[in-house]
Amino acid sequence: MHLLRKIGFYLIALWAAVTLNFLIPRLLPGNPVDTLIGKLSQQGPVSPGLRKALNALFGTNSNENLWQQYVGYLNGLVHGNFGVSVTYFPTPVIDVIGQAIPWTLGLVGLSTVIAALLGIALGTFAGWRRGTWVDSLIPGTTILQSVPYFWLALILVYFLASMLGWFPLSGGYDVNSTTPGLSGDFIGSVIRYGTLPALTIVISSIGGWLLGMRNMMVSTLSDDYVATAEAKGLSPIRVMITYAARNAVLPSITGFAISLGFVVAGSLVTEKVFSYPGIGNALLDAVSNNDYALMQGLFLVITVAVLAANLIVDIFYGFIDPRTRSRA
Amino acid sequence: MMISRKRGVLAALAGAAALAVALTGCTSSASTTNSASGPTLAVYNGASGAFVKNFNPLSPTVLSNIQGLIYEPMFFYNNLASLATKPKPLLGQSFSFNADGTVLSVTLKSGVTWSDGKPFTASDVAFTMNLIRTTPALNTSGNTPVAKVVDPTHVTLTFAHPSFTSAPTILGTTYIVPEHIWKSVKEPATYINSSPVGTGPMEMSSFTNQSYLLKKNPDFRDAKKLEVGGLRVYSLSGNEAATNKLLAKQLDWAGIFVPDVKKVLDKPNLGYTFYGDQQVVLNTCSNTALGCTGPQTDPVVRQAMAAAIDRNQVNKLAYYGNAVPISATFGLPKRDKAFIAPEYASTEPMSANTAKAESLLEGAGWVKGSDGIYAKNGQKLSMNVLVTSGYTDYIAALQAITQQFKQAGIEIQVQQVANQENNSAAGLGKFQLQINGIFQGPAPDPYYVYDKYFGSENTSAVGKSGNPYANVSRFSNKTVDAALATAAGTQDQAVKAKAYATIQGIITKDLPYIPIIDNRNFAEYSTTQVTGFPTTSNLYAQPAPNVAPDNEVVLLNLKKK
Amino acid sequence: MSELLLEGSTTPADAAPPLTRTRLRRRPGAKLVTGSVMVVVIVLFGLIAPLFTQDPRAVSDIGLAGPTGAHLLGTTQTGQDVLAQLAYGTRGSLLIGVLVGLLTLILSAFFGIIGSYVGGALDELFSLISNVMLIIPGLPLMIVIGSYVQHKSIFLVAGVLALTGWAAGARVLRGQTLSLRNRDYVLAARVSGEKTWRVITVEILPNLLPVMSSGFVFSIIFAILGEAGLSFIGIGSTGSLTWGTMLANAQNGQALLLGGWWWFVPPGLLIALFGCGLSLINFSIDEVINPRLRAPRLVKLQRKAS
Repeated sequence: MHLLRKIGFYLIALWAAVTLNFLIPRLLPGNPVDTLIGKLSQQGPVSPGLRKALNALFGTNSNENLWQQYVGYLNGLVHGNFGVSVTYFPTPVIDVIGQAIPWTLGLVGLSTVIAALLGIALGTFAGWRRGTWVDSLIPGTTILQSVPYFWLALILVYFLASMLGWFPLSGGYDVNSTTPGLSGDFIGSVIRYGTLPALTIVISSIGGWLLGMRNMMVSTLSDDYVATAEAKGLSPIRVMITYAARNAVLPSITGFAISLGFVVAGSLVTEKVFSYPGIGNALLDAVSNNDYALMQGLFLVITVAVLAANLIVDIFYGFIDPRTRSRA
Repeated sequence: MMISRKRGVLAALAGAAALAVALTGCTSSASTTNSASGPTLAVYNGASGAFVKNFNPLSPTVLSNIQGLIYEPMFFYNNLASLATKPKPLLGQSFSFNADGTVLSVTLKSGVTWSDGKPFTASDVAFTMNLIRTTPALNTSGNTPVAKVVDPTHVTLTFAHPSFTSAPTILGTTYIVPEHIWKSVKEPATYINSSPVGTGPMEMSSFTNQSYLLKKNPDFRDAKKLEVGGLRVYSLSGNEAATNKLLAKQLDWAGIFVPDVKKVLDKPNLGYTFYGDQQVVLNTCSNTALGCTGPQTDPVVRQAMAAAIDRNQVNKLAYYGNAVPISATFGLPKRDKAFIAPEYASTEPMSANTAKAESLLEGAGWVKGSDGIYAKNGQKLSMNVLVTSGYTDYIAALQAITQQFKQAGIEIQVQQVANQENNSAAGLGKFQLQINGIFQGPAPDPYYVYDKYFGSENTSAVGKSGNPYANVSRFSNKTVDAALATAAGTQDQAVKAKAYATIQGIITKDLPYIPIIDNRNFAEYSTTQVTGFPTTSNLYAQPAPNVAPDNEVVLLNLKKK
Repeated sequence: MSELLLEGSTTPADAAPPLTRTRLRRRPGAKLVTGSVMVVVIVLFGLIAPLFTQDPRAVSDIGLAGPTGAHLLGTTQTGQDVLAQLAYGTRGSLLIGVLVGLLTLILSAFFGIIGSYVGGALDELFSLISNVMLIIPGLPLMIVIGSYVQHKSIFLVAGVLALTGWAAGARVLRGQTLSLRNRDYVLAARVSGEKTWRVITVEILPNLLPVMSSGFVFSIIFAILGEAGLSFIGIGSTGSLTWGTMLANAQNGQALLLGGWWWFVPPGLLIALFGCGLSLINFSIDEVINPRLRAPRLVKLQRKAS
């Protein structure tokens, strides 16, 4: 019963989100045709007939009203048809997204996992060693979080990539020497190109994990059962890991599941700074080109991922902490 | 505004290290690929984000370098030379109009083959023209002729009305596709043409979403003369990343905006060429009859603004001193010498004439208020200016102009808006002032600028959506329209010049577009592997790699080092 | 983000007993002092410096030039004084921060506390609204809203940041209120017939204060970073002076390519310092919320024992 209610709730949220995703792009000023004419005008002469031709090409200026468009949009969603991207005309939206998503999942996903694991491990340690010199390092990690991400990223690029030449400046892999595929060369190249962007994400997000875990550890350590375990003479490592950390890590796990949901949204700024061919870049392109279909498709993918992550967390919590079932 | 400028989101810091990269001798694989057929050039066209396959030369979203290097038009019009210069034959050999300009007879080259070995003939040209004409989504010129094959090397193109002025579009930017392949294409407008077969110097070799490689077409008619082996096209995050790559000698050819280019690219084996013109203006919504409101609808106010601009300061702060004086006729002083009437031959003064601006305003009844700003009938001389956010040259220019106007008692408020919002405002006429560029036409003839930006048929009433890159000032004048019709209906340069003098007399007084400065575009190249790019003294074609079919002409001129 | 949808998750504050006045009056620690000094200095800079600096928008023919006596922090591409811009930018950013902080506080309190206290359909509705707000991509929303306003002022940016930023706070407050409303003293107040608004303001709100103030401080950081991010991708309050628009302008002007570090570095540094100061203050608040977070003495005892 509880589960059914939850699912119903999620379906309503999904519908509301999908509807907003439909409306938001349509409220944007301008239209794809004029934006494209603007771009083409800068490349070379544009003849007066172009506007008419583009309207015919994109099917814009059609007489469908908003409601008909909405019905068509929902119908398309049900059949997995997201329409055709104007930016990448005539490529279907689904292909554009499919092409971008592995890059985002790879980069942002991996760095989220690394940041969370590293943060939780360090947080456990910091919580265990509370009240010592370790505590004075904690504020340092929050400074990293207070720095504007792109500023930090650009400075790292400046020192590590440009000055020292340790990392490539931008891109997803070395296009000169390898082609995408399951070759060692390609994978090595992807890792080499992904390291610096991943590093910037980890550096700027690790502080949150560390602090959350540390605080939970400190709280848990003062619980009676931990004191009992210590009194029993169990080894400190065992107390730290199996007694304290095991319980303290629960909120972090939740946070982790949720941030995995947001991975799909990608990191707009990271991808822009490093010219990484992922979802964030595609979204910026879509917005600046009034590409309704692509925006809708991207929003939908992002929304569904976030909702799914939340649903999983909700169900997961229902099992771990029965109190939530009665309260919700 | 440069060809490929992306607003906002750029990786500047990366650029800062360019020098360091150059010093540490970061070597590139691009510069060392030197196969038997010739070097492969690394090219950046200004693309950011992933590439998505589209090799259809008739599609407006086709990838760069497909037009020109794989598919060719019949002739090449050098937009930088004078109109007297004959178009250079590509697939065509020669052409002539009948007396009234309705029938165009074209002789084609013989012995040309497609890259799949099949011969190119007049029926390919006829097929392409008729395909475009009968497919509204492809008919970008709006005036595509009926084509008839006379014999394998002759084709006649028949227009519905006199069309001398359409020739550059039809002959110079219509890319011919092979009939034997395209006749079975059902949806030519959305066809992505994944294995392109063309007549040009290059063919598609490999494609990924971050880069694609073109290699020499061995069947190309002038393959022996072509010294470049291939072209590697990159997607980068923006101009800074590209500038970096240029400085690291990892790019051979680009057409991007580089700030203070004379200083930044002052390195051995790197070069840049100023070319073409982008006349920077303040668009004004000038015509009350079509619904414009605000002080700028008064021609005297527009004249005062033109006089109050300190163009030297704008040039220095916004264009690093690389811009040149602008003509209020919007003709290009050197190229269009034959078409600019002597009385309008001088360009706009580079320094401000505040006294002139003030006396103009006072003569028209404007009175300076206690705040130093003029007013008339309770209306303050204060206007909004729209500018696309991230267009740094425009923004810098406006920062300077705001102060210069203030000296002359004119107030402007600058509003930075997103590009699409700016387009929308211009198209609908819902703006007072807007900084933008005047873009030249397909041939070196001021007709195209006059028609597009001053012709009544290219404007619309305020509130009605019009083309944001045409007559956004809502200028409409019967004398100008009549002169345009005269110029369009003749090939006689003297007759044209007379018609243009009439237009110039009107627009230099009315000033619906307030001339600011002529910002020259530039392209960059590395001479590590090849030489022979167009130079300022030898502008045989536009030097940027994404301008077609100029890119083909440049490519054929490059010499291995 | 971890608060999202977790109605029953045990946040540290869950474990804390209701606050008494004495606990709030504890002696401030070194963190609080350091943090406050950093914040106060920057705030004073923003308040006072604009009175003494040059006109931040005055262009001059010197163009991009390094620090000199006349321009202590150098000039921008159009010869504008960086120090003056920084002073006004500080003012703008702080204004955005405080506005967003307040708006977020109000919105999250409204949706978080009232919904969960009243319960029933209202709670469901408010939860739904918060959840939908959490998953709507905020970037295009910003552009849409911005397109309806001719002049994108910092107030507009603040409004949008608050609109897209309140939902997480509402979730936290909802969880807290849910646990508080069943506490004995709250139940007692309700049984004795106290009015709803009185129960909320007198019994519940004071106990939520530490969580709310922590949220307030956090949303100031969030707002300042958010504004910088929006400006970076070109949709901020482009005409105004803030740290974010300064950074965006420096970047668009390719300041670093031209060697103009003095244009790019200072605004980012100020954001980092201000954020750091606020984080330190937030640490102290966290310790108030959850007294277990400071327990150095206990630690020493445990050390000896283990």
